[in-house]
Amino acid sequence: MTAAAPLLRVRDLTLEFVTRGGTVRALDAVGLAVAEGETVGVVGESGSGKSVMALAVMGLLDRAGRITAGGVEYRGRRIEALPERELRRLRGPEIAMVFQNPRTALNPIRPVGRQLVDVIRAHRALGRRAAEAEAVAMLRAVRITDPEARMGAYPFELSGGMCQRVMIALALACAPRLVIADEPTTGLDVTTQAVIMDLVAGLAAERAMAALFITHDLALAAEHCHRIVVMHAGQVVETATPGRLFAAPAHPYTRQLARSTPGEATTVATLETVPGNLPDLTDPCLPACRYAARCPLVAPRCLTERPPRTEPWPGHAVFCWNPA
Amino acid sequence: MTGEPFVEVHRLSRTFALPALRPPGGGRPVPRHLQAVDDVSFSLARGQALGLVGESGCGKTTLAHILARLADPTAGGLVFDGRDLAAVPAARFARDPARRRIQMVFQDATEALNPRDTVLEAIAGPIRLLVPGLRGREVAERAAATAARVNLPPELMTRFPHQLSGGQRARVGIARAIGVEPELLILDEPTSALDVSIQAVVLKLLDRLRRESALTYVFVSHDLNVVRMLCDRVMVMYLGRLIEEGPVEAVFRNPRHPYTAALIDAIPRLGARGAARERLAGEPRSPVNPSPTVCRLVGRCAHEQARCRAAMPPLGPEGAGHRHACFFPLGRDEEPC
Ligand SMILES: Nc1ncnc2c1ncn2[C@@H]1O[C@H](COP(=O)(O)OP(=O)(O)O)[C@@H](O)[C@H]1O
Ligand SMILES: Nc1ncnc2c1ncn2[C@@H]1O[C@H](COP(=O)(O)OP(=O)(O)O)[C@@H](O)[C@H]1O
Ligand SMILES: [Mg+2]
Ligand SMILES: [Mg+2]
Repeated sequence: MTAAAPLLRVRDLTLEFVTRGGTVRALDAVGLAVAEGETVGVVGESGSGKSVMALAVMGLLDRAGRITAGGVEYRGRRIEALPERELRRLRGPEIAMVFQNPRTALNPIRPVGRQLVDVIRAHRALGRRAAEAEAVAMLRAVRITDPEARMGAYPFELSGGMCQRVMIALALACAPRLVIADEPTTGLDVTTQAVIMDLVAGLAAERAMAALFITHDLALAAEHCHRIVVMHAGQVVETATPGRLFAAPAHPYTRQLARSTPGEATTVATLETVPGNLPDLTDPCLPACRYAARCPLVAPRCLTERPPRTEPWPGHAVFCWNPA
Repeated sequence: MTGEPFVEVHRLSRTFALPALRPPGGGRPVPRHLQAVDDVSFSLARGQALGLVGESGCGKTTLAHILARLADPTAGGLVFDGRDLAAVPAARFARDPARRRIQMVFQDATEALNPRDTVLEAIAGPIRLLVPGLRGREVAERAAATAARVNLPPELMTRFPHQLSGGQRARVGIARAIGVEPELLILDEPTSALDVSIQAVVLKLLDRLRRESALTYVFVSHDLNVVRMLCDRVMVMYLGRLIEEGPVEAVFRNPRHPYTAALIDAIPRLGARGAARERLAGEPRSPVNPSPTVCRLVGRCAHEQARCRAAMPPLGPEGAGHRHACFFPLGRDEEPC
């Protein structure tokens, strides 16, 4: 990372949903930064707030969602202060999003080629012919074989892996500066996943595009990201390069998560489990560190005082009273 | 292996008929079938855990359902503990005495549970149906004991599925299957919907249950590391064909089929950023009306030659512990054991 202002900065983002079942404290002082051209991974169990954070960055939060502190800055502008009209101008040409389930994000009754042409023409002054040629080029770039023939295909005629590639082509059609991918390969085969991740990484490097890559798969993030942010129950607990994070994890949660992920040499005896469950986020008396109830190293002040940020290594930050 | 195999599968196939397709230029409609499982043979010793891997759509669930005798093969034999079960139609097998001995844990625990049954009812149901001569009290006692074996606390017994966490639902699904004390347990991606933290708990539970009761497992999974950890042997399928089979360590350390190698290569690894890997190019061939004289990997394989497009490679060597179906295998031949 350079000293220049990052492309995206999430600062102390605190966010809640007011529901009939109570107030869900979904994010608690979440901070992260993505530099130009950098790929940052966000990992954590389901329910840890990864998707909510991504939606807040896109200005796509549900009505029930309310930011109570902190905010999101994109190239120095505060996202949550922008009117919807401005936001729409950002989404696509500046920030693009790839969702987990491409079939729900694609229009089921419009051929994929037409959808690509629509997006290209909405953001660039191109004639129909030129936009079509561009769409074919995009499909080829995401390695869809016989792209001219696929232009006329409907989403249901394509495999899951191909739909995901179309979704990526759509997201990249406007050459965004930042792509946010929320579990883009979850549910796909490892072989398809590998090809898609290579593709996104290749395009990101080629166009100096930044990426915020959200996944529950630690190993996948480790393989494809410059930096990883670990979240637990709406809090960031640790951030570091993959090498640092797995060689010397400082937060007890990161350590437990890594040891409960089966690797090549894992045996049933060495496989560890993370004790307990995520806390109930509607609980009005959540402990200051939301990992406290599950933590083997818990101390009294973990319940009452916000864990301090320390840097065991340059660029490696941990939020814990008892870091390793 | 010595003695009679516990499960012996011989040239098993399953096709699904599809609506015939009229050629674009007119003429007779072409009959079409989807080859979900194609000529699969293997055997399994009592007490072994066999992993079944391959990309989605390769036929894992179809094969699992046939082994559990919930579906019928279109061809081939299935001998279970010396008895030919392929001859018993799935519909009749529901009332067969062997039904109790072969049980299945389904991929989606939520879908497999009746939303109106309490946890106790869900676990008691198969016991009442399949274990003869038990009185109401005994059924309930056995269900409660089974729940305890999978670490479901007693206070959950009166809850409904929607009131359970994902990990708890997975445990109910396992308890339903083991409550009748089966000998062969077929598990179809039992942890694919779970977070790693919960998955680890369920995997340890499955390993403990197998050792406690000398169960035989067929374990379908998309996670190769999980199979390597839990199973003795592994079978790799590709588009309905069995393309490699052997002891887990032999297959993982010395994959012979290029598809197996690509599958292993694609596993993400902690602390291995940007490693250049062998990838599969292109899309899989269609499973509809597949050619019997072309290797299924043709078009995606970096090692293919003319011979691969002229004949289907058979699984071999015959009788070996580690078998593969490739004319130009990778790696090295192993000592016969
Ligand atoms: N629209 C919403 N209304 C109420 N609660 C929500 C809403 N969206 C998300 N949440 C809650 O916020 C928390 C974080 O959810 P999410 O960001 O989806 O987690 P992740 O993506 O890490 O799995 C969860 O407890 C979830 O139930
Ligand atoms: N009832 C069915 N009718 C037609 N095709 C089916 C049916 N069930 C499965 N298939 C097809 O059979 C193939 C194998 O499916 P399946 O056994 O579910 O694979 P896996 O479990 O490996 O993902 C797939 O091509 C699937 O679409
Ligand atoms: Mg999510
Ligand atoms: Mg399946």
